[in-house]
Amino acid sequence: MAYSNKVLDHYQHPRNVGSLDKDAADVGTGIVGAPECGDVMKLQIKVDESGRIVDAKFKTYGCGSAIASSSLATEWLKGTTVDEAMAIRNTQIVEELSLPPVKIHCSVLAEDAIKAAIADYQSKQERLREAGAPES
Amino acid sequence: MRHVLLRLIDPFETLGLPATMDLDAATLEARYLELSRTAHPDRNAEVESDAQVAMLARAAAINDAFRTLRDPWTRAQALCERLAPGVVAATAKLSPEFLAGAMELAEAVALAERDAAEALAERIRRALAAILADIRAALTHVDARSAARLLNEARYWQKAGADLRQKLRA
Repeated sequence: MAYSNKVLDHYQHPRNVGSLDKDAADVGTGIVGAPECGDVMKLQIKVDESGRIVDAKFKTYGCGSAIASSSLATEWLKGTTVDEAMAIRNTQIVEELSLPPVKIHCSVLAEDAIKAAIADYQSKQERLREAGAPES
Repeated sequence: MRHVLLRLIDPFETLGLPATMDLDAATLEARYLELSRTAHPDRNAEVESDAQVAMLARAAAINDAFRTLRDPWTRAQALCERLAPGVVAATAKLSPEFLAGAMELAEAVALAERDAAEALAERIRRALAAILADIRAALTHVDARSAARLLNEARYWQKAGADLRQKLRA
């Protein structure tokens, strides 16, 4: 399989690898997988009071395209608002990394991970509001 | 490609065998050989071409069905699809809790030193045996959804096992 230079770059120098505190109120964690290939992807965002994503981390066990897709996603996420992050589509990742058709599912996984991380963050905030505690 | 075929063709029907996990290996092989003889293209070289093409397709279907039913995992998948077409794909999204465990497993494989690898391989073998037993139980209760979800879970364990073997060879 011939990987594009951008995929190879992210694969060899992945950006933002690591973990954030999954129990923190301002952190959202998305963990998704693709049983067809056994890939697992964890993507985390840290959001400030204004709804801006100030940090993003990922950890992916999978092929080069899955690693590159999640690495790229964390780069894009940093500095965007949660609303802007919701608008990120897998097709943008496919385009940026020149992913071949057989690897499109890797970009879908990254989009799913972004959405799962946002959903986790929002449900945490929702619970905080319901509990009457001040927003973090 | 294989998944598509499984959905379109029922391997139990192709081989005329009862749709159950408890297929006897000797019975399966005997039926396969018996059917293969009747569908072998060389044996029917004298019949005209349309019929020969059909015969070839049948020989391929018999081979596919045998391969699918010989392996307990693909046999279970065929049973799931028979009970509820598309159920394996429909249950592919697993819980975050399971996926967090799958990630820990992948991490353990990546970090395993040679002396710890055998214990990890054994843990993976045991987990897969337990999942297969659960799949059998689910299918006995005609619970295609649970069986399909377990099949999807098994793929992460199978991947971990394959990664570990590859790592040990390297």
